[in-house]
Amino acid sequence: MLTVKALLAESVPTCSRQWQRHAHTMRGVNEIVVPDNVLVSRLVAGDEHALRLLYDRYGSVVYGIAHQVTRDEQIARDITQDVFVYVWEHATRVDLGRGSIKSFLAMLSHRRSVDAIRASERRNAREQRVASEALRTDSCDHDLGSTVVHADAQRWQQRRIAQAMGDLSDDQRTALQLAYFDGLTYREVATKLNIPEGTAKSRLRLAIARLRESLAHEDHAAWTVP
Amino acid sequence: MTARPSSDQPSNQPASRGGIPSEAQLETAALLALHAVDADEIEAATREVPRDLIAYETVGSLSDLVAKRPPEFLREDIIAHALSRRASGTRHNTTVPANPLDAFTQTVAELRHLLDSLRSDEWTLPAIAEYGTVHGLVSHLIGVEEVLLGEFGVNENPTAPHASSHIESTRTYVASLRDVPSSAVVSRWHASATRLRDCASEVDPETVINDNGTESTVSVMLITRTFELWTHHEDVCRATGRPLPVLDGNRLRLMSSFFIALLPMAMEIGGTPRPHKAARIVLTGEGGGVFHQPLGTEIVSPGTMLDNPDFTLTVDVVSMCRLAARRTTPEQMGAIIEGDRALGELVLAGAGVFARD
Repeated sequence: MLTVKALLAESVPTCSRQWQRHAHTMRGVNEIVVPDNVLVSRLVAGDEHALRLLYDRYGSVVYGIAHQVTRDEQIARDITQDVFVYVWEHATRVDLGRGSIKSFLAMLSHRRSVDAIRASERRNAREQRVASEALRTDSCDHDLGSTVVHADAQRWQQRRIAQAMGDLSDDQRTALQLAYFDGLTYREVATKLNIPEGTAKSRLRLAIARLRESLAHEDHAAWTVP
Repeated sequence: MTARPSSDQPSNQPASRGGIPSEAQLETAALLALHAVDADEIEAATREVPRDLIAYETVGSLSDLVAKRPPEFLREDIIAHALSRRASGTRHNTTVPANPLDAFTQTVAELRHLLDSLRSDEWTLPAIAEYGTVHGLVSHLIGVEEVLLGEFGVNENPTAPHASSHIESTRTYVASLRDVPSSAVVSRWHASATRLRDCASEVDPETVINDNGTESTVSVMLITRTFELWTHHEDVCRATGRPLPVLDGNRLRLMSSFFIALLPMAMEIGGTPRPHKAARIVLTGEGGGVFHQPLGTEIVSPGTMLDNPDFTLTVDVVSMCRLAARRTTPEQMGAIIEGDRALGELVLAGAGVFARD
Protein backbone atom coordinates (compact mmCIF):
# COMPACT_ATOMS: atom_id res chain seq x y z
CA MET A 1 0.00 0.00 0.00
CA LEU A 2 1.32 3.36 -0.93
CA THR A 3 0.41 6.14 1.40
CA VAL A 4 1.09 9.78 0.90
CA LYS A 5 3.75 9.53 3.55
CA ALA A 6 5.32 6.57 1.80
CA LEU A 7 5.33 8.54 -1.40
CA LEU A 8 6.97 11.41 0.38
CA ALA A 9 9.66 9.11 1.64
CA GLU A 10 10.72 8.23 -1.86
CA SER A 11 13.06 10.50 -3.68
CA VAL A 12 11.38 13.19 -5.70
CA PRO A 13 13.04 14.23 -8.92
CA THR A 14 13.26 17.96 -9.02
CA CYS A 15 13.14 18.58 -12.70
CA SER A 16 10.28 17.82 -15.02
CA ARG A 17 12.74 17.31 -17.84
CA GLN A 18 14.09 14.37 -15.90
CA TRP A 19 10.64 12.90 -15.93
CA GLN A 20 10.26 13.52 -19.63
CA ARG A 21 13.54 11.82 -20.39
CA HIS A 22 12.60 8.94 -18.19
CA ALA A 23 9.17 8.58 -19.73
CA HIS A 24 10.74 8.50 -23.14
CA THR A 25 13.22 5.82 -22.21
CA MET A 26 10.50 3.75 -20.69
CA ARG A 27 8.54 3.72 -23.86
CA GLY A 28 11.45 2.87 -26.11
CA VAL A 29 12.87 4.78 -29.00
CA ASN A 30 10.35 3.72 -31.59
CA GLU A 31 7.24 4.44 -29.64
CA ILE A 32 6.12 7.98 -29.82
CA VAL A 33 4.23 9.72 -27.06
CA VAL A 34 1.38 11.56 -28.67
CA PRO A 35 1.10 15.01 -27.11
CA ASP A 36 -2.23 15.91 -25.55
CA ASN A 37 -2.93 18.65 -28.05
CA VAL A 38 -2.55 16.18 -30.90
CA LEU A 39 -4.78 13.76 -29.06
CA VAL A 40 -7.49 16.39 -28.76
CA SER A 41 -7.18 17.31 -32.44
CA ARG A 42 -7.61 13.67 -33.29
CA LEU A 43 -10.68 13.43 -31.10
CA VAL A 44 -12.15 16.37 -32.94
CA ALA A 45 -11.33 14.69 -36.24
CA GLY A 46 -13.23 11.62 -35.07
CA ASP A 47 -10.34 9.24 -34.48
CA GLU A 48 -11.59 6.53 -32.15
CA HIS A 49 -8.03 5.36 -31.63
CA ALA A 50 -7.37 8.70 -29.96
CA LEU A 51 -10.23 8.04 -27.57
CA ARG A 52 -8.61 4.74 -26.63
CA LEU A 53 -5.30 6.50 -26.05
CA LEU A 54 -7.00 9.16 -23.97
CA TYR A 55 -8.70 6.51 -21.87
CA ASP A 56 -5.46 4.57 -21.42
CA ARG A 57 -3.72 7.75 -20.36
CA TYR A 58 -6.29 9.26 -18.04
CA GLY A 59 -8.85 6.55 -17.31
CA SER A 60 -7.29 5.87 -13.93
CA VAL A 61 -7.44 9.55 -12.96
CA VAL A 62 -11.08 9.87 -13.98
CA TYR A 63 -12.13 6.61 -12.38
CA GLY A 64 -9.94 7.16 -9.34
CA ILE A 65 -11.39 10.52 -8.43
CA ALA A 66 -14.94 9.29 -9.04
CA HIS A 67 -14.31 6.24 -6.88
CA GLN A 68 -12.67 8.29 -4.16
CA VAL A 69 -15.49 10.80 -3.92
CA THR A 70 -18.45 8.47 -4.32
CA ARG A 71 -16.97 5.33 -2.69
CA ASP A 72 -19.20 3.40 -5.05
CA GLU A 73 -17.77 1.30 -7.86
CA GLN A 74 -20.89 1.32 -9.96
CA ILE A 75 -21.30 5.07 -9.76
CA ALA A 76 -17.59 5.53 -10.45
CA ARG A 77 -17.89 3.39 -13.57
CA ASP A 78 -20.92 5.37 -14.72
CA ILE A 79 -19.14 8.66 -14.16
CA THR A 80 -16.06 7.43 -15.99
CA GLN A 81 -18.19 6.46 -18.93
CA ASP A 82 -20.04 9.72 -18.79
CA VAL A 83 -16.82 11.74 -18.82
CA PHE A 84 -15.21 9.97 -21.76
CA VAL A 85 -18.38 9.87 -23.80
CA TYR A 86 -18.80 13.58 -23.14
CA VAL A 87 -15.30 14.33 -24.36
CA TRP A 88 -15.81 12.16 -27.43
CA GLU A 89 -19.09 13.88 -28.25
CA HIS A 90 -17.92 17.37 -27.45
CA ALA A 91 -14.21 17.30 -28.22
CA THR A 92 -14.34 20.80 -29.66
CA ARG A 93 -15.13 22.13 -26.19
CA VAL A 94 -11.75 21.04 -24.92
CA ASP A 95 -9.65 24.15 -25.24
CA LEU A 96 -6.08 23.44 -24.29
CA GLY A 97 -5.44 27.15 -24.13
CA ARG A 98 -7.38 27.09 -20.87
CA GLY A 99 -5.72 24.16 -19.20
CA SER A 100 -4.55 20.61 -19.65
CA ILE A 101 -6.76 17.81 -20.83
CA LYS A 102 -6.04 16.01 -17.60
CA SER A 103 -7.30 18.86 -15.48
CA PHE A 104 -10.36 19.08 -17.70
CA LEU A 105 -11.11 15.40 -17.25
CA ALA A 106 -10.39 15.52 -13.52
CA MET A 107 -12.58 18.57 -13.12
CA LEU A 108 -15.39 16.88 -15.02
CA SER A 109 -15.10 13.66 -13.06
CA HIS A 110 -14.94 15.49 -9.76
CA ARG A 111 -17.89 17.69 -10.59
CA ARG A 112 -20.03 14.75 -11.57
CA SER A 113 -18.97 12.77 -8.52
CA VAL A 114 -19.86 15.63 -6.24
CA ASP A 115 -23.22 15.99 -7.98
CA ALA A 116 -23.80 12.28 -7.53
CA ILE A 117 -23.17 12.23 -3.81
CA ARG A 118 -25.11 15.39 -3.22
CA ALA A 119 -28.21 13.67 -4.39
CA SER A 120 -29.68 12.97 -0.98
CA GLU A 121 -30.39 9.28 -1.31
CA ARG A 122 -26.85 8.60 -2.43
CA ARG A 123 -25.35 10.79 0.22
CA ASN A 124 -26.90 8.74 2.95
CA ALA A 125 -25.63 5.51 1.48
CA ARG A 126 -22.20 6.97 1.02
CA GLU A 127 -22.02 8.28 4.55
CA GLN A 128 -22.85 4.88 5.85
CA ARG A 129 -20.00 3.40 3.87
CA VAL A 130 -17.61 6.09 5.05
CA ALA A 131 -18.71 5.62 8.64
CA SER A 132 -17.99 1.93 8.45
CA GLU A 133 -14.41 2.60 7.44
CA ALA A 134 -11.77 3.02 10.07
CA LEU A 135 -11.63 6.50 11.51
CA ARG A 136 -8.79 8.37 10.01
CA THR A 137 -7.22 10.91 12.28
CA ASP A 138 -4.54 11.89 9.82
CA SER A 139 -6.05 12.45 6.45
CA CYS A 140 -2.70 12.05 4.75
CA ASP A 141 -2.46 8.52 6.01
CA HIS A 142 -5.40 7.63 3.88
CA ASP A 143 -4.38 5.20 1.19
CA LEU A 144 -4.57 7.74 -1.57
CA GLY A 145 -3.27 6.20 -4.70
CA SER A 146 -3.13 2.84 -3.07
CA THR A 147 -4.26 0.73 -5.93
CA VAL A 148 -2.68 2.00 -8.98
CA VAL A 149 -0.63 4.32 -11.04
CA HIS A 150 2.07 2.03 -12.20
CA ALA A 151 3.84 4.18 -14.73
CA ASP A 152 6.95 5.74 -13.29
CA ALA A 153 6.08 9.13 -14.68
CA GLN A 154 2.76 9.07 -12.92
CA ARG A 155 4.41 7.82 -9.74
CA TRP A 156 6.74 10.75 -9.87
CA GLN A 157 3.86 13.14 -10.32
CA GLN A 158 2.05 11.43 -7.48
CA ARG A 159 5.02 11.95 -5.19
CA ARG A 160 5.22 15.55 -6.24
CA ILE A 161 1.60 16.19 -5.34
CA ALA A 162 1.96 14.24 -2.14
CA GLN A 163 4.90 16.37 -1.18
CA ALA A 164 2.90 19.51 -1.89
CA MET A 165 0.10 18.17 0.28
CA GLY A 166 2.65 17.43 2.95
CA ASP A 167 3.72 21.07 2.91
CA LEU A 168 0.25 22.18 3.98
CA SER A 169 -0.60 22.71 7.60
CA ASP A 170 -2.63 19.93 9.17
CA ASP A 171 -5.70 22.15 9.28
CA GLN A 172 -5.42 23.11 5.65
CA ARG A 173 -4.76 19.56 4.54
CA THR A 174 -7.73 18.20 6.45
CA ALA A 175 -10.05 20.84 5.03
CA LEU A 176 -8.77 20.18 1.53
CA GLN A 177 -9.14 16.46 1.94
CA LEU A 178 -12.74 16.81 3.06
CA ALA A 179 -13.64 19.21 0.29
CA TYR A 180 -11.90 17.54 -2.63
CA PHE A 181 -11.56 13.87 -1.83
CA ASP A 182 -14.74 13.57 0.20
CA GLY A 183 -16.74 16.03 -1.88
CA LEU A 184 -18.02 18.18 0.98
CA THR A 185 -19.11 21.77 0.59
CA TYR A 186 -17.31 24.36 2.64
CA ARG A 187 -20.33 24.51 4.96
CA GLU A 188 -20.12 20.77 5.50
CA VAL A 189 -16.39 21.07 6.07
CA ALA A 190 -17.12 23.68 8.72
CA THR A 191 -19.67 21.47 10.41
CA LYS A 192 -17.42 18.43 10.26
CA LEU A 193 -14.49 20.27 11.77
CA ASN A 194 -16.64 22.30 14.11
CA ILE A 195 -15.23 25.59 12.87
CA PRO A 196 -16.93 28.74 11.54
CA GLU A 197 -17.78 28.73 7.83
CA GLY A 198 -15.50 31.67 7.25
CA THR A 199 -12.61 29.72 8.72
CA ALA A 200 -13.36 26.76 6.47
CA LYS A 201 -13.34 29.00 3.42
CA SER A 202 -10.15 30.65 4.50
CA ARG A 203 -8.39 27.33 5.07
CA LEU A 204 -9.41 26.08 1.65
CA ARG A 205 -8.23 29.25 -0.03
CA LEU A 206 -4.88 29.12 1.73
CA ALA A 207 -4.52 25.43 0.94
CA ILE A 208 -5.09 26.02 -2.76
CA ALA A 209 -2.74 29.00 -2.79
CA ARG A 210 -0.04 26.97 -1.08
CA LEU A 211 -0.53 24.01 -3.39
CA ARG A 212 -0.42 26.24 -6.41
CA GLU A 213 2.80 27.73 -5.20
CA SER A 214 4.33 24.35 -4.48
CA LEU A 215 3.36 22.96 -7.83
CA ALA A 216 4.36 26.16 -9.61
CA HIS A 217 1.43 25.77 -11.89
CA GLU A 218 0.37 28.40 -14.28
CA ASP A 219 -3.32 28.11 -14.01
CA HIS A 220 -5.16 29.00 -17.11
CA ALA A 221 -8.59 30.38 -17.54
CA ALA A 222 -10.95 27.94 -16.03
CA TRP A 223 -12.92 25.40 -17.93
CA THR A 224 -16.58 26.01 -18.21
CA VAL A 225 -18.14 23.23 -16.23
CA PRO A 226 -20.30 21.26 -18.65
CA MET B 1 -21.08 34.37 -1.15
CA THR B 2 -18.38 36.64 0.08
CA ALA B 3 -19.23 39.57 -2.14
CA ARG B 4 -22.42 40.67 -3.79
CA PRO B 5 -22.19 40.61 -7.56
CA SER B 6 -23.50 43.68 -9.26
CA SER B 7 -26.65 43.08 -11.21
CA ASP B 8 -25.14 44.04 -14.54
CA GLN B 9 -22.17 41.76 -14.21
CA PRO B 10 -22.25 39.14 -16.95
CA SER B 11 -22.11 35.50 -16.12
CA ASN B 12 -18.78 33.84 -16.84
CA GLN B 13 -17.19 37.19 -17.25
CA PRO B 14 -13.79 37.15 -18.90
CA ALA B 15 -10.76 37.35 -16.72
CA SER B 16 -9.72 40.78 -15.67
CA ARG B 17 -6.04 40.30 -16.34
CA GLY B 18 -3.85 42.76 -14.63
CA GLY B 19 -6.39 43.50 -11.91
CA ILE B 20 -5.50 42.35 -8.42
CA PRO B 21 -8.10 39.90 -7.17
CA SER B 22 -9.58 40.52 -3.78
CA GLU B 23 -9.24 38.02 -0.99
CA ALA B 24 -12.94 37.32 -1.27
CA GLN B 25 -12.58 36.51 -4.94
CA LEU B 26 -9.68 34.19 -4.28
CA GLU B 27 -11.71 32.44 -1.63
CA THR B 28 -14.63 31.96 -3.94
CA ALA B 29 -12.30 30.82 -6.73
CA ALA B 30 -10.86 28.14 -4.47
CA LEU B 31 -14.31 26.91 -3.52
CA LEU B 32 -15.39 26.78 -7.16
CA ALA B 33 -12.32 24.81 -8.16
CA LEU B 34 -13.07 22.34 -5.40
CA HIS B 35 -16.78 22.23 -6.26
CA ALA B 36 -17.26 23.05 -2.61
CA VAL B 37 -19.97 25.64 -3.14
CA ASP B 38 -23.54 24.86 -2.24
CA ALA B 39 -25.97 24.65 -5.14
CA ASP B 40 -27.81 27.80 -4.11
CA GLU B 41 -24.57 29.81 -4.22
CA ILE B 42 -23.01 28.64 -7.45
CA GLU B 43 -24.61 31.19 -9.72
CA ALA B 44 -23.55 34.12 -7.59
CA ALA B 45 -20.09 32.63 -7.11
CA THR B 46 -19.42 32.21 -10.81
CA ARG B 47 -20.49 35.79 -11.41
CA GLU B 48 -18.15 36.98 -8.72
CA VAL B 49 -14.96 35.43 -9.97
CA PRO B 50 -13.06 35.87 -13.23
CA ARG B 51 -12.72 32.49 -14.84
CA ASP B 52 -8.95 32.47 -15.00
CA LEU B 53 -8.80 32.82 -11.25
CA ILE B 54 -10.28 29.39 -10.67
CA ALA B 55 -7.42 27.02 -9.97
CA TYR B 56 -8.70 23.95 -11.79
CA GLU B 57 -5.20 23.04 -12.89
CA THR B 58 -3.90 22.98 -9.34
CA VAL B 59 -6.90 21.16 -7.97
CA GLY B 60 -6.82 18.73 -10.90
CA SER B 61 -3.31 17.72 -9.85
CA LEU B 62 -4.78 16.20 -6.71
CA SER B 63 -6.49 13.59 -8.82
CA ASP B 64 -3.12 11.92 -9.33
CA LEU B 65 -3.19 10.89 -5.71
CA VAL B 66 -6.26 8.77 -6.10
CA ALA B 67 -5.69 7.40 -9.61
CA LYS B 68 -7.10 3.92 -9.68
CA ARG B 69 -7.19 1.43 -12.49
CA PRO B 70 -10.75 0.94 -13.66
CA PRO B 71 -12.11 -2.56 -14.21
CA GLU B 72 -10.73 -4.07 -17.42
CA PHE B 73 -14.10 -4.45 -19.11
CA LEU B 74 -14.91 -0.78 -18.71
CA ARG B 75 -12.62 0.35 -21.51
CA GLU B 76 -14.41 -1.41 -24.32
CA ASP B 77 -17.82 -0.68 -22.81
CA ILE B 78 -17.02 3.00 -22.85
CA ILE B 79 -15.60 2.94 -26.36
CA ALA B 80 -18.65 1.08 -27.65
CA HIS B 81 -20.99 3.49 -25.91
CA ALA B 82 -19.06 6.50 -27.20
CA LEU B 83 -19.14 5.20 -30.77
CA SER B 84 -22.86 4.60 -30.52
CA ARG B 85 -23.23 8.31 -29.80
CA ARG B 86 -20.80 9.53 -32.43
CA ALA B 87 -19.50 7.21 -35.11
CA SER B 88 -15.79 6.83 -35.66
CA GLY B 89 -14.36 9.02 -38.36
CA THR B 90 -17.02 11.67 -38.09
CA ARG B 91 -15.61 15.06 -37.47
CA HIS B 92 -17.24 17.55 -35.22
CA ASN B 93 -19.16 20.05 -37.25
CA THR B 94 -18.66 17.66 -40.13
CA THR B 95 -17.36 19.48 -43.13
CA VAL B 96 -18.67 18.25 -46.42
CA PRO B 97 -16.33 18.46 -49.39
CA ALA B 98 -17.04 21.44 -51.59
CA ASN B 99 -18.52 20.87 -54.98
CA PRO B 100 -15.52 20.98 -57.37
CA LEU B 101 -17.13 23.62 -59.56
CA ASP B 102 -17.93 25.83 -56.57
CA ALA B 103 -14.45 25.28 -55.16
CA PHE B 104 -12.82 26.35 -58.39
CA THR B 105 -15.12 29.37 -58.77
CA GLN B 106 -14.41 30.60 -55.27
CA THR B 107 -10.68 30.07 -55.57
CA VAL B 108 -10.61 32.01 -58.84
CA ALA B 109 -12.47 34.87 -57.18
CA GLU B 110 -10.07 34.98 -54.26
CA LEU B 111 -7.01 34.96 -56.47
CA ARG B 112 -8.51 37.71 -58.62
CA HIS B 113 -9.07 39.77 -55.50
CA LEU B 114 -5.46 39.28 -54.46
CA LEU B 115 -4.05 40.14 -57.88
CA ASP B 116 -6.15 43.28 -58.08
CA SER B 117 -4.65 44.41 -54.80
CA LEU B 118 -1.01 44.15 -55.91
CA ARG B 119 1.06 47.28 -56.35
CA SER B 120 2.90 47.66 -59.65
CA ASP B 121 6.29 46.99 -58.05
CA GLU B 122 5.03 43.74 -56.58
CA TRP B 123 4.46 42.24 -60.01
CA THR B 124 8.20 42.06 -60.58
CA LEU B 125 8.97 40.28 -57.32
CA PRO B 126 10.32 36.76 -57.71
CA ALA B 127 7.60 34.18 -57.19
CA ILE B 128 8.55 30.66 -58.18
CA ALA B 129 11.61 29.70 -60.18
CA GLU B 130 9.91 28.19 -63.22
CA TYR B 131 8.11 31.42 -64.12
CA GLY B 132 10.31 34.03 -62.52
CA THR B 133 8.16 36.85 -61.24
CA VAL B 134 4.60 37.19 -60.03
CA HIS B 135 3.81 38.42 -63.53
CA GLY B 136 5.34 35.27 -65.02
CA LEU B 137 3.36 33.10 -62.64
CA VAL B 138 0.05 34.65 -63.65
CA SER B 139 1.04 34.33 -67.30
CA HIS B 140 1.59 30.66 -66.66
CA LEU B 141 -1.92 30.42 -65.25
CA ILE B 142 -3.30 31.96 -68.41
CA GLY B 143 -1.53 29.23 -70.32
CA VAL B 144 -2.97 26.50 -68.13
CA GLU B 145 -6.53 27.76 -68.42
CA GLU B 146 -6.30 28.30 -72.17
CA VAL B 147 -4.72 24.94 -72.89
CA LEU B 148 -7.55 23.35 -70.95
CA LEU B 149 -10.08 25.47 -72.80
CA GLY B 150 -8.70 23.84 -75.94
CA GLU B 151 -9.97 20.57 -74.55
CA PHE B 152 -13.43 22.04 -74.64
CA GLY B 153 -12.83 23.32 -78.18
CA VAL B 154 -13.10 26.99 -77.25
CA ASN B 155 -9.51 28.16 -77.20
CA GLU B 156 -9.40 30.96 -79.73
CA ASN B 157 -5.75 31.77 -79.16
CA PRO B 158 -3.86 28.53 -79.10
CA THR B 159 -0.43 30.04 -78.89
CA ALA B 160 1.03 26.85 -77.54
CA PRO B 161 0.52 23.31 -78.71
CA HIS B 162 -0.51 20.60 -76.31
CA ALA B 163 2.37 19.33 -74.36
CA SER B 164 2.69 16.61 -71.80
CA SER B 165 4.41 18.95 -69.40
CA HIS B 166 2.44 21.40 -67.32
CA ILE B 167 5.36 23.79 -67.31
CA GLU B 168 6.42 23.38 -70.92
CA SER B 169 2.91 23.83 -72.25
CA THR B 170 2.76 27.34 -70.83
CA ARG B 171 6.28 28.50 -71.47
CA THR B 172 5.32 30.38 -74.62
CA TYR B 173 2.59 32.17 -72.70
CA VAL B 174 5.05 33.33 -70.07
CA ALA B 175 7.43 34.58 -72.76
CA SER B 176 4.85 36.24 -74.97
CA LEU B 177 3.10 38.04 -72.13
CA ARG B 178 6.24 39.37 -70.52
CA ASP B 179 5.64 42.96 -71.64
CA VAL B 180 1.89 42.96 -71.27
CA PRO B 181 0.70 45.23 -68.44
CA SER B 182 -0.21 43.40 -65.27
CA SER B 183 -3.81 44.62 -65.35
CA ALA B 184 -4.24 43.08 -68.78
CA VAL B 185 -2.65 39.85 -67.60
CA VAL B 186 -5.06 39.68 -64.70
CA SER B 187 -8.04 40.35 -66.92
CA ARG B 188 -7.02 37.71 -69.43
CA TRP B 189 -6.37 35.11 -66.78
CA HIS B 190 -9.67 35.82 -65.08
CA ALA B 191 -11.56 35.67 -68.35
CA SER B 192 -9.94 32.34 -69.20
CA ALA B 193 -10.62 30.87 -65.79
CA THR B 194 -14.21 32.06 -65.85
CA ARG B 195 -14.67 30.59 -69.29
CA LEU B 196 -13.17 27.33 -68.18
CA ARG B 197 -15.62 27.21 -65.30
CA ASP B 198 -18.52 27.90 -67.66
CA CYS B 199 -17.38 25.13 -69.99
CA ALA B 200 -17.00 22.70 -67.11
CA SER B 201 -20.46 23.53 -65.81
CA GLU B 202 -22.04 22.62 -69.12
CA VAL B 203 -20.79 19.04 -69.33
CA ASP B 204 -21.11 15.92 -67.24
CA PRO B 205 -18.51 16.13 -64.45
CA GLU B 206 -17.36 12.64 -65.40
CA THR B 207 -16.57 13.65 -68.94
CA VAL B 208 -13.07 12.52 -69.78
CA ILE B 209 -10.60 15.17 -70.86
CA ASN B 210 -6.88 15.36 -71.44
CA ASP B 211 -5.20 17.39 -68.75
CA ASN B 212 -1.63 18.03 -69.88
CA GLY B 213 -1.20 14.51 -71.20
CA THR B 214 -3.06 12.85 -68.34
CA GLU B 215 -6.45 11.36 -68.86
CA SER B 216 -8.74 12.97 -66.35
CA THR B 217 -12.35 13.91 -65.78
CA VAL B 218 -13.80 17.37 -65.67
CA SER B 219 -14.48 16.95 -61.99
CA VAL B 220 -10.91 15.94 -61.21
CA MET B 221 -9.59 18.72 -63.41
CA LEU B 222 -11.55 21.25 -61.35
CA ILE B 223 -10.10 19.86 -58.13
CA THR B 224 -6.54 20.00 -59.44
CA ARG B 225 -7.18 23.52 -60.72
CA THR B 226 -8.44 24.52 -57.27
CA PHE B 227 -5.34 22.94 -55.76
CA GLU B 228 -3.07 24.80 -58.14
CA LEU B 229 -4.75 28.18 -57.81
CA TRP B 230 -4.68 27.95 -54.01
CA THR B 231 -1.02 26.98 -54.13
CA HIS B 232 -0.12 29.86 -56.42
CA HIS B 233 -2.25 32.21 -54.36
CA GLU B 234 -0.01 31.29 -51.46
CA ASP B 235 3.07 31.70 -53.70
CA VAL B 236 2.05 35.26 -54.52
CA CYS B 237 1.37 36.00 -50.87
CA ARG B 238 4.77 34.69 -49.89
CA ALA B 239 6.45 36.68 -52.65
CA THR B 240 4.74 39.89 -51.63
CA GLY B 241 4.83 39.38 -47.88
CA ARG B 242 1.09 39.08 -47.50
CA PRO B 243 -0.63 36.78 -45.01
CA LEU B 244 -1.49 33.40 -46.44
CA PRO B 245 -5.14 32.84 -47.30
CA VAL B 246 -7.28 30.82 -44.95
CA LEU B 247 -9.13 28.28 -47.01
CA ASP B 248 -12.55 27.16 -45.84
CA GLY B 249 -13.00 23.65 -44.53
CA ASN B 250 -15.13 22.52 -47.45
CA ARG B 251 -12.40 23.14 -50.00
CA LEU B 252 -9.73 21.70 -47.74
CA ARG B 253 -11.85 18.60 -47.31
CA LEU B 254 -12.29 18.32 -51.06
CA MET B 255 -8.60 18.70 -51.78
CA SER B 256 -7.33 16.56 -48.94
CA SER B 257 -9.66 13.64 -49.50
CA PHE B 258 -8.80 13.72 -53.19
CA PHE B 259 -5.13 13.72 -52.40
CA ILE B 260 -5.30 10.98 -49.77
CA ALA B 261 -7.12 8.71 -52.22
CA LEU B 262 -4.24 9.19 -54.65
CA LEU B 263 -1.58 8.04 -52.20
CA PRO B 264 -1.38 4.45 -53.52
CA MET B 265 -0.85 5.83 -57.01
CA ALA B 266 1.72 8.29 -55.72
CA MET B 267 3.68 5.45 -54.20
CA GLU B 268 3.50 3.44 -57.35
CA ILE B 269 4.64 6.37 -59.49
CA GLY B 270 7.39 7.08 -57.00
CA GLY B 271 8.63 3.52 -57.33
CA THR B 272 7.83 2.60 -53.73
CA PRO B 273 4.62 0.60 -53.94
CA ARG B 274 3.55 -0.99 -50.68
CA PRO B 275 0.77 -3.46 -51.34
CA HIS B 276 -1.05 -4.97 -48.36
CA LYS B 277 -0.11 -2.02 -46.19
CA ALA B 278 -2.48 0.58 -44.83
CA ALA B 279 -2.43 3.88 -43.00
CA ARG B 280 -4.75 5.70 -40.68
CA ILE B 281 -4.41 9.33 -41.59
CA VAL B 282 -5.84 11.86 -39.18
CA LEU B 283 -6.02 15.31 -40.66
CA THR B 284 -6.68 17.84 -37.97
CA GLY B 285 -8.28 21.24 -38.24
CA GLU B 286 -11.29 22.51 -40.12
CA GLY B 287 -11.78 20.38 -43.21
CA GLY B 288 -9.81 17.46 -41.81
CA GLY B 289 -10.99 13.99 -40.93
CA VAL B 290 -9.91 10.41 -40.43
CA PHE B 291 -8.94 8.33 -43.43
CA HIS B 292 -8.25 4.61 -43.50
CA GLN B 293 -6.19 4.32 -46.60
CA PRO B 294 -4.64 1.28 -48.28
CA LEU B 295 -1.19 2.05 -49.65
CA GLY B 296 -1.29 -0.48 -52.44
CA THR B 297 -3.42 -0.32 -55.54
CA GLU B 298 -4.97 -3.73 -54.93
CA ILE B 299 -8.63 -3.98 -54.08
CA VAL B 300 -9.12 -4.11 -50.32
CA SER B 301 -12.27 -5.38 -48.74
CA PRO B 302 -13.53 -3.41 -45.76
CA GLY B 303 -12.67 -4.75 -42.35
CA THR B 304 -9.35 -6.23 -43.37
CA MET B 305 -6.01 -4.55 -43.00
CA LEU B 306 -7.70 -1.18 -42.75
CA ASP B 307 -8.78 -2.11 -39.23
CA ASN B 308 -5.16 -2.60 -38.27
CA PRO B 309 -3.21 0.05 -40.11
CA ASP B 310 0.55 -0.12 -40.17
CA PHE B 311 0.84 3.41 -38.89
CA THR B 312 -1.17 6.41 -37.84
CA LEU B 313 -0.21 9.76 -39.27
CA THR B 314 -1.50 12.89 -37.58
CA VAL B 315 -0.99 16.24 -39.21
CA ASP B 316 -3.04 19.33 -39.85
CA VAL B 317 -4.95 19.36 -43.08
CA VAL B 318 -3.39 22.51 -44.50
CA SER B 319 0.13 21.14 -44.04
CA MET B 320 -0.90 17.97 -45.79
CA CYS B 321 -2.22 19.94 -48.75
CA ARG B 322 1.00 21.96 -48.84
CA LEU B 323 3.01 18.77 -48.82
CA ALA B 324 1.01 17.55 -51.79
CA ALA B 325 1.86 20.81 -53.54
CA ARG B 326 5.51 20.51 -52.48
CA ARG B 327 5.25 23.75 -50.53
CA THR B 328 6.42 22.12 -47.34
CA THR B 329 8.56 19.15 -46.46
CA PRO B 330 7.85 16.19 -44.21
CA GLU B 331 10.41 17.60 -41.78
CA GLN B 332 8.73 20.99 -41.66
CA MET B 333 5.15 19.89 -41.38
CA GLY B 334 5.25 18.54 -37.83
CA ALA B 335 3.54 15.25 -38.59
CA ILE B 336 3.33 12.63 -35.88
CA ILE B 337 3.75 9.03 -36.93
CA GLU B 338 2.82 6.18 -34.63
CA GLY B 339 3.53 2.61 -35.60
CA ASP B 340 5.69 1.80 -38.62
CA ARG B 341 7.59 5.05 -38.72
CA ALA B 342 9.72 4.11 -41.73
CA LEU B 343 6.65 3.39 -43.81
CA GLY B 344 5.02 6.61 -42.69
CA GLU B 345 8.07 8.60 -43.68
CA LEU B 346 8.17 6.84 -47.03
CA VAL B 347 4.59 7.86 -47.72
CA LEU B 348 5.30 11.47 -46.80
CA ALA B 349 8.47 11.54 -48.86
CA GLY B 350 6.58 10.55 -51.98
CA ALA B 351 3.48 12.62 -51.36
CA GLY B 352 4.50 15.48 -53.61
CA VAL B 353 4.80 13.38 -56.74
CA PHE B 354 1.75 14.96 -58.37
CA ALA B 355 2.90 18.54 -57.83
CA ARG B 356 3.72 20.01 -61.21
CA ASP B 357 5.44 23.23 -60.38
